[in-house]
Amino acid sequence: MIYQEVLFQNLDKILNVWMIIDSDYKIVHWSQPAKQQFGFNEDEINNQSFSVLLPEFVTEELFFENLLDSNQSVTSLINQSAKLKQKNNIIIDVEFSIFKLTHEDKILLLLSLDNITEEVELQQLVNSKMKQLNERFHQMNDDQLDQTIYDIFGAVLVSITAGQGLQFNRAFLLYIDQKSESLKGIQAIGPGSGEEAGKIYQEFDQTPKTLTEMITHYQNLKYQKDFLVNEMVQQINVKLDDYEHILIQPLVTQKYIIVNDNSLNVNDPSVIWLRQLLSVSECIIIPMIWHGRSIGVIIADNQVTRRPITNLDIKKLTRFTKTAVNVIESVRLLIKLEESITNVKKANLQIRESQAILVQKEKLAAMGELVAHMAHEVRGPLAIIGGFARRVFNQTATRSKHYDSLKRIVETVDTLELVINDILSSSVPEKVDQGRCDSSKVINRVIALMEEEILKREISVNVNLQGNLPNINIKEHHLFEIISNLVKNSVEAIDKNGLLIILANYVKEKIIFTIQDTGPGFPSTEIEKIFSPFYTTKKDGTGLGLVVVKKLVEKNGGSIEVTSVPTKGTTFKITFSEHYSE
Amino acid sequence: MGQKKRILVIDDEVNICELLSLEFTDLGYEVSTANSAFNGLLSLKKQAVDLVILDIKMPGMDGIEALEKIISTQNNLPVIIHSAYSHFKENYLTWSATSYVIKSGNLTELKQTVQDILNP
Repeated sequence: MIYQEVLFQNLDKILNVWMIIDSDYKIVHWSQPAKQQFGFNEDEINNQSFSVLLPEFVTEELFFENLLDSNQSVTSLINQSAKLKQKNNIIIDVEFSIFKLTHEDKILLLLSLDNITEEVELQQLVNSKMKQLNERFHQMNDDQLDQTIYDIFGAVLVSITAGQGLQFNRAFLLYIDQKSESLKGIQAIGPGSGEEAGKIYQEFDQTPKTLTEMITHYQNLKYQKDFLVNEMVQQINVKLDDYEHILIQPLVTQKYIIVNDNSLNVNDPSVIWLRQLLSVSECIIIPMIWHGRSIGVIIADNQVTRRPITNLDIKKLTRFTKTAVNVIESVRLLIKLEESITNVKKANLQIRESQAILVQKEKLAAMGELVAHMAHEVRGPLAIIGGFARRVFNQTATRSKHYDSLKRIVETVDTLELVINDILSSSVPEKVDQGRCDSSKVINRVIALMEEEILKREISVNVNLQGNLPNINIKEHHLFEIISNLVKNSVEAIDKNGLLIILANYVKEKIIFTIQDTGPGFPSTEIEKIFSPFYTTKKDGTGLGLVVVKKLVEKNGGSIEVTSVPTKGTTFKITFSEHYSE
Repeated sequence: MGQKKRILVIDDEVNICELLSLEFTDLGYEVSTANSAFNGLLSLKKQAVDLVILDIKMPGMDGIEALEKIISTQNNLPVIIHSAYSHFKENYLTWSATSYVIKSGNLTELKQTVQDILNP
């Protein structure tokens, strides 16, 4: 008896936070750590109702489930988690177990718990990261289970049935299939019948006892696919919206359920169905929870030995399930990562291949250029040969003995010229290296070059370039030629004391340059003429500036507009499309 | 027919100068030749012509530079660019020439172009 006393005196060290609650949900005894945990002192704890520890909207009935129901055979809640409230109203996460104790006709509840708030917070952190990862790889055949996963499932089931600690007779694994929104039976282990039981246990008996060895053995069992239980479990397919179903309830409440003769829901059709299917009176259904999300259930029973499921069994199995889920989901994620790495590698390979093709193309292009160059070089001498040959031929009478020879030379040169033309037109388009051109830079360069002239003529220049002008697809020296010609024209038109305005704007994917002067202008009848060659109003002008400007603008897919008012001035407006390419 | 029209051929290839000289003389023109751009410009200063046939690829000053110089002094003088290369057409500096004919053993196109300009 003395040992029991010693044990009781030291109970705080063993159970830490624990309390005893009576059938009216009054806390009749607090352990010292329990008082500290919830922040109550000696005076405050007398006959305190348990409700002081419950957060809003949670009743005692809800927390203790049906433990006080005398019709219920359930005598414990093991490794559950919940939220409780401290005296200072701070909510904490706890993992707890409750055992129903009966003393004479009195019922008492022993509650022991661990504060896991920090763990939960950390978990939530991991959660969000995992969720991101999972979502990122979600599109990659999430519903196709890899063989590796089946091996892991096998290992889990072997552990439940044949492990040193758990030793259930049979175990079934059911997974949520997101595509069909149902809970599907995947894999099972255990004898399908009494005979088979004997066979399997014999085999397991003869095999070594470490888990890894057992798993290898399980994988080698040649009839593993033929297990009757496997056939049985694969028939299970329950829709997720069937909330009343005994297999869906653990997914919703995220709490384990024990099904036996004393269950409250023993007459529920799904319970009857399940017990018939498994041909068993008692089994436990444990939800598999991955970072707060239900992903499946494990069903375990003792169909062969008919040994009742004990509190200890539940404790071990709930802990084991947690670990198993971690392993399963981590492996799944790893498989997905592996897949994505494979895909990236594949993409990389494709890139390298296309790079090789590009290099090849460039080589061909270089060769083409060489061929074009040679063809051009041949054309000159050929013109000489052909020219002289034709000249002699034209002066030779048909009856001359050289007539035929000369005719052959002329014809062959003609053919050769055609061949060269063919090569040049098909092989390489003459290289036009369009560049992305920064127009602000060009305008500034033009102004810098004209500065002296502008100062000399006392012209005010107003330059306004919109910020972030996109580059234009035009060779820089082309744009330079356009702008400098127009600016030069304007400066010369103003002669002295005037205003020159240069604007660059980006409107609706178009870049518009405006160059305006306060020169003498010209009548509208002249507008058509200004772009024709040799038109000039200047004494020593060539009249070619505007011809070149127009050709260059049009060649680069732009347009040019001019408006002029006599005595007021002239405005040139040039528009380029941002996306133009030849 | 009044006075003979004068043509100046500028080409570093003497055979071309010779050939065009013979052919256009036969057609009734007075032809002078220069085997470099520099000599061509010099000759233009000494004696006015009615048309220039100008090669582009020449050592020293090329035809493009020569063209600019010709036009800046006599902007009404017709110039026909006569080159084995077609890509100089892309160079806007050649656009001020009256015409652009690619070299060939068959002189029909060049002759036609000259006729069109000088005897329209």
